[in-house]
Amino acid sequence: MVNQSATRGEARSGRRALLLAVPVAIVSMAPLVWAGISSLRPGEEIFRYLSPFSWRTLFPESVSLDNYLSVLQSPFALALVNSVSVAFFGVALGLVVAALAGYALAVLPFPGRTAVFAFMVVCFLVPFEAIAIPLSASFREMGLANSYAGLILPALGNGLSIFLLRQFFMGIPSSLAEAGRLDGLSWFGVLRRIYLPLSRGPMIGAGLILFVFQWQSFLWPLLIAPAPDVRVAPVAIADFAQETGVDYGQMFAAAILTAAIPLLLLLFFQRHFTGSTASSGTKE
Amino acid sequence: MTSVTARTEREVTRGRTRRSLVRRETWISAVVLLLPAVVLLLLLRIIPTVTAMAEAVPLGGERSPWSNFAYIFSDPSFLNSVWVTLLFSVIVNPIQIALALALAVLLTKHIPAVGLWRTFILLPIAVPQAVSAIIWLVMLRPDGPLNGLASAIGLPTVPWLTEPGWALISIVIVCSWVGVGYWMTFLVTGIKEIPSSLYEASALDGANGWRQFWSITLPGLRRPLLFVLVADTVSNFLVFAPVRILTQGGPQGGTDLLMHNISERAYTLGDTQAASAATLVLVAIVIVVVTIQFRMLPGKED
Amino acid sequence: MRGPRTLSAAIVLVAGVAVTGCQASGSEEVTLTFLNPHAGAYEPVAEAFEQAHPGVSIELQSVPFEQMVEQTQARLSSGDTSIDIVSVDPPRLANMVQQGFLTEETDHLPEMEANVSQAAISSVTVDDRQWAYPLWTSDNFLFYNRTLLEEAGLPVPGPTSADRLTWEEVVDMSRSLVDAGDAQYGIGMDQVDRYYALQPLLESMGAGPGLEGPDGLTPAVDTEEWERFGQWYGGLYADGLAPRGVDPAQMVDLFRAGHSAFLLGGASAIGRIADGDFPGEWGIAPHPYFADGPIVTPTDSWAIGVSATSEHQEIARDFVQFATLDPQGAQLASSVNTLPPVQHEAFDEYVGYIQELAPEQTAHFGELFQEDTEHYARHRPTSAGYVQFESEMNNAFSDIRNGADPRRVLGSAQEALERQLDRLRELAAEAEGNER
Repeated sequence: MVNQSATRGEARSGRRALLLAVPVAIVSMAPLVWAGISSLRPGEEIFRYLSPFSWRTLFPESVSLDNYLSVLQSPFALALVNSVSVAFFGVALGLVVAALAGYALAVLPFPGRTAVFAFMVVCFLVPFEAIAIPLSASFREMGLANSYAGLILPALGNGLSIFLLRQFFMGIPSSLAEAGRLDGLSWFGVLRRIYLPLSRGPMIGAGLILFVFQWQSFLWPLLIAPAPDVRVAPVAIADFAQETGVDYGQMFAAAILTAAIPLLLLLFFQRHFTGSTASSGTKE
Repeated sequence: MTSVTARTEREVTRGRTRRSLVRRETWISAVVLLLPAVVLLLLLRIIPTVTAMAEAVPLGGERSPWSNFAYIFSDPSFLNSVWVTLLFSVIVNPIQIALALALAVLLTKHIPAVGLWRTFILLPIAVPQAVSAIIWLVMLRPDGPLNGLASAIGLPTVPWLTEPGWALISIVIVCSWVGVGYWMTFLVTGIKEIPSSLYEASALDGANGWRQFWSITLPGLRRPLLFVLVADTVSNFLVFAPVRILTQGGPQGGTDLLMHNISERAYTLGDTQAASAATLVLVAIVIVVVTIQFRMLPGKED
Repeated sequence: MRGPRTLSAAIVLVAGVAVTGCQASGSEEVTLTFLNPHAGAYEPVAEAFEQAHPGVSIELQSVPFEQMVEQTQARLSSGDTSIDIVSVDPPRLANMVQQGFLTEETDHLPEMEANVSQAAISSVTVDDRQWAYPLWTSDNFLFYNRTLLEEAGLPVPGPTSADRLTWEEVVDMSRSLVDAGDAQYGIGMDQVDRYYALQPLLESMGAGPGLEGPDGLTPAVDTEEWERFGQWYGGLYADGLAPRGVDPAQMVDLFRAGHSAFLLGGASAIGRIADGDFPGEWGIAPHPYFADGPIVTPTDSWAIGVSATSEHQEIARDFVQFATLDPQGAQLASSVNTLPPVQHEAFDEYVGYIQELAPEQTAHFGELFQEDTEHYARHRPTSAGYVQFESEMNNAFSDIRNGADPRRVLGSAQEALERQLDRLRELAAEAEGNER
């Protein structure tokens, strides 16, 4: 009885929440939708109907995929492939490093734990742009210029993802770890058998941090990997902004393609969010 | 009798050795687990930072080691950018965290296609910053769509990027457009980790949504919220690309955030010494703020 | 015309092969890296050079224009030996020379003199010595929306230097168009707020270039004339004759969408305007001047230099000379982004190309360009502090455009520049002291 009424109440509040969520989602998407529409227009039409604001601002006179075709034939296509590969390795390796460290900091009782944690926090306080020049000089000396390794390595030392996982691992009752230890599990076994299966959501979150760092990275790739065959998408996109003018149509087309890959990944992982321990958050 | 005592003694000794063995195993495990992260952070963050520090504090030259600090602190543009950065932080952080929290609560309710809405709100972070800033550069033009829409429905137009106060608000808007969905995601994860039995029990007690938020959601979110608070604050201290593309620090220095001021010094003007000194000042400010946040968040760690 | 040019190109190519032939014998493959802010622009010239020089390949590393200064700074100052060739913005040359980024090219002055104008050579000259090879030049023109002017019954500007309008006339026409609601804006500038575009206006109004003294390290931007210019410039925007808050990159689009009656813009705008379907007719007139002052026009564009840390300086120099001084090479190097090359014959070719793009509008384009370059062009100041100066001034113009008080803005720009240039001198003296 009680359960049923709760469910009905939840459904009602869910509908009310939908009325709030949809407008927020629309506001959030609006600039991208505008860019997407612009990418379907021929160059000079983007600005012709910008002002005064009218229905033409949003609906193109004619739709053409020319911008997409020429973007996909430009060096941007290779750059997008590079971005995806670099992000994949960055996330995969970064997650291993972060999970190990976050777990040690959250669960293992060892002297100096707080000090090590403070050290990690300080590391993500340092603005990466400020150390990029000296770091790129030493990378170049080590022969890492214009290589995937040069692009991926800096993303691996990510204090933020360690911090995130530590926070979530601390929320898992320590009795579980103790029970696992009494059953003869090693500390690594406790991580693998108990913590990781319970932390699908936080691991996706840490993956997101690592992904965004790689995906948004601009200054570093420009410094360390300017050669045509290893350029990444944000750098290649900047090519559409030349001294003599910006090709907005192609730039927006490239941006939409760049956003489409994470969009698909996110839609996929959202399903996983709801399918994990999260079932405890939703009813039954 | 004797055998019994001997056995207990043996057991005690064995227990002690086991305990110390366990402690040793724990210690070794900690070293092994932390080693990759510590080595990477040392090489990729700490050593370059020390290099930068060495540049900020030139030793053995004719000048005083602190001359770079003296220079930046006598420079009105630097002092202005410290002030603008603090002002920006005071405005942007509460807004972003409150919005992220509200959206996280909203989007953990039973909404049809909830994943889709969450994804849409998170998506701006996936667009390269250079492009999203250029999109806003058009949106915020005096005759751009935002003002066009405003005047179409009878609202006054706004000098978004052309007046110092509004320009800072524009930066706040652009950063929040990018950031709110991102930080929301971690809070959604946090809310989902809270056992649903707590909500059921309080629903039986007749608690409404507001009371559940204060008595269950917020306490249960303590650790993820501390993460979001610290991480968001830090990232807002380091904002730079939107400023560079939208306002170049202007009008009249009104949006000259520290990171932009520093990058101008380092990259455009080539004054890496002053840039390093300014970076150290920035890092010092962030350390102070973050330390306060760790101290202040209710319910100390451990 | 085609005969001798092809011949001379062939001679240069053969000579090039001979030179490399000597080098390549016994040595292996060479890859030259060319750091530049012009994505795609040098592909044809690089290909031609590679074909003529087996064993040499050229890697074009293009960085965004906005990041070129910082990339050059970051990579050359950290002693990056992987860069052999680098694009040089002439006003920044003095600074690059001071930092020792470039090889000296004075020995090749005769070749330069044979192929490009003295004006172009002086853009790559610091302390009477040459440090790079000039590639392109530039000029600004007054583009006008003929349809708008005719519909409003205003006179259409003439195309030759003799027909040159004054700014007073341009502003009057703009005002009547905007007041009557015939045009949304009167004037746009494709380099709005940038010193490059505004220096000719300042100097035509009688103001100095803003940097004075023998080493160009004494700022003078708070003078009466500068303030007068500031009032005029701010007034354009305060009166709604020109658009606030529109980024330089969107200015040509503003004109070509028919939103502004005039555009002060470079030759690169011709292709972009001719390319789209412009609403009505348009035309090109000479750069205006102030009635009481001299005619002044902007000039100079990118040059190419050889990196002092390059391990292949000789072959790198061969490439740079081919791309700038050789008629065919210079033409290839200008063929993608169609900027005007300084090499004499390549420039003629370029004018022909522009006239194909927009035959009606550009009938007098070539002669106008040359007249401006010979008689009215003013270089930007040669100074190791130009970078500081330009970034400070661009911000100041932007503030004035957005409505800040010119006197206050220029006053604080003057103070900021004094502080920054003092600092520059101090650091330079220290660097010298350390070397000794």
